[in-house]
Amino acid sequence: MNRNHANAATSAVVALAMSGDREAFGQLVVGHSSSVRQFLRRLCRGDAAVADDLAQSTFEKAWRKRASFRGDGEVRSWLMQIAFNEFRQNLRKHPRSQTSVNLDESTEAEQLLSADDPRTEDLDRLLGELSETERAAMVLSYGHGYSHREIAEALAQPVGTVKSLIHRAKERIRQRFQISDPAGSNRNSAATTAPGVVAARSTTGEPACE
Amino acid sequence: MTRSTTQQDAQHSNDPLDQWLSKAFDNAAEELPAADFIRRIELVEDKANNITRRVVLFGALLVAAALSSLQFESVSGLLDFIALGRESMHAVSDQIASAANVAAISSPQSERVLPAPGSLQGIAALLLLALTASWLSESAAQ
Repeated sequence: MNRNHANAATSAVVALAMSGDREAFGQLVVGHSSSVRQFLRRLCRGDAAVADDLAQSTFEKAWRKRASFRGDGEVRSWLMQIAFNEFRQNLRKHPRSQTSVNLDESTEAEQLLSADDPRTEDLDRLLGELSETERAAMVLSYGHGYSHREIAEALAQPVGTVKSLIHRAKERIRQRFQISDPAGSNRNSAATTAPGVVAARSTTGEPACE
Repeated sequence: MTRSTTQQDAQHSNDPLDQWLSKAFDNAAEELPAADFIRRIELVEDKANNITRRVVLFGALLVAAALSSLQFESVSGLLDFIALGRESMHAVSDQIASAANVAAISSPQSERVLPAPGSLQGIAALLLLALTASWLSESAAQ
């Protein structure tokens, strides 16, 4: 019952915001700014300044394009869609490539995935191995707990594509770091059964934020 | 943050990669305060309003210039008038202020802004004033 009331209140705020009520839109910004900023930080591999600039553009664009919100989906997916588009536009403007992970030293590679308490920097470096769409799907799935349907809305992709994006992203990480797959599919012969890394190769990853 | 099935599955999975990702995202999660962020958005919005106000005034200037050039029947006459107007701007500041409000009527926030002598707003206001005076005198003559 309480949950229904909360949902109704949220829907009312969203409806007001989309009709041009600044106060209601402010509430949406307060409610969603943290998750949008975190999403963009992971996409930008930890570059907080650029991520916050993109988050700002995201909410400005959301305000200007509020009429495009159809109302049949979640507002958080709609905001993430705008955020992802802002991120991609920024990549097109600043296509400077960065070397994502330097794993020439095997000790560094071992630290990356075998640590009991993974560091955020390591997560960002690992995500840097993925394409921008794979990265976004992984962040929304593991970091924000989005369902496949919500990720599909946010990335403007079919649900089936989202499933294969996540699967492909994990496979790419497994192959890149030669991590064992308990399911046994696509298992690399060099992989070990224990969590961790047995070998590493240096590579040049996808461009991140400028 | 509310845990989804995906996150719970990842935590209880015996896949080392799932477990690592789950822990890593947990460690990376932080609540980012909205206060500073919202102030930044408001500043940008103020800047956008200023730009809008300038665009409106510049549009008024263009329209006034086009109409005034008809009244003065030549561009050189208009330019002479602008030069004269800039020199005598201080003397007619009261009229400029009221005319500026007319020029900025489509931008309510501009009502507080008085045109500086020789500024774009001032010239636009002067042109509108001249145009109005010209129309009035023409109507009176007829």
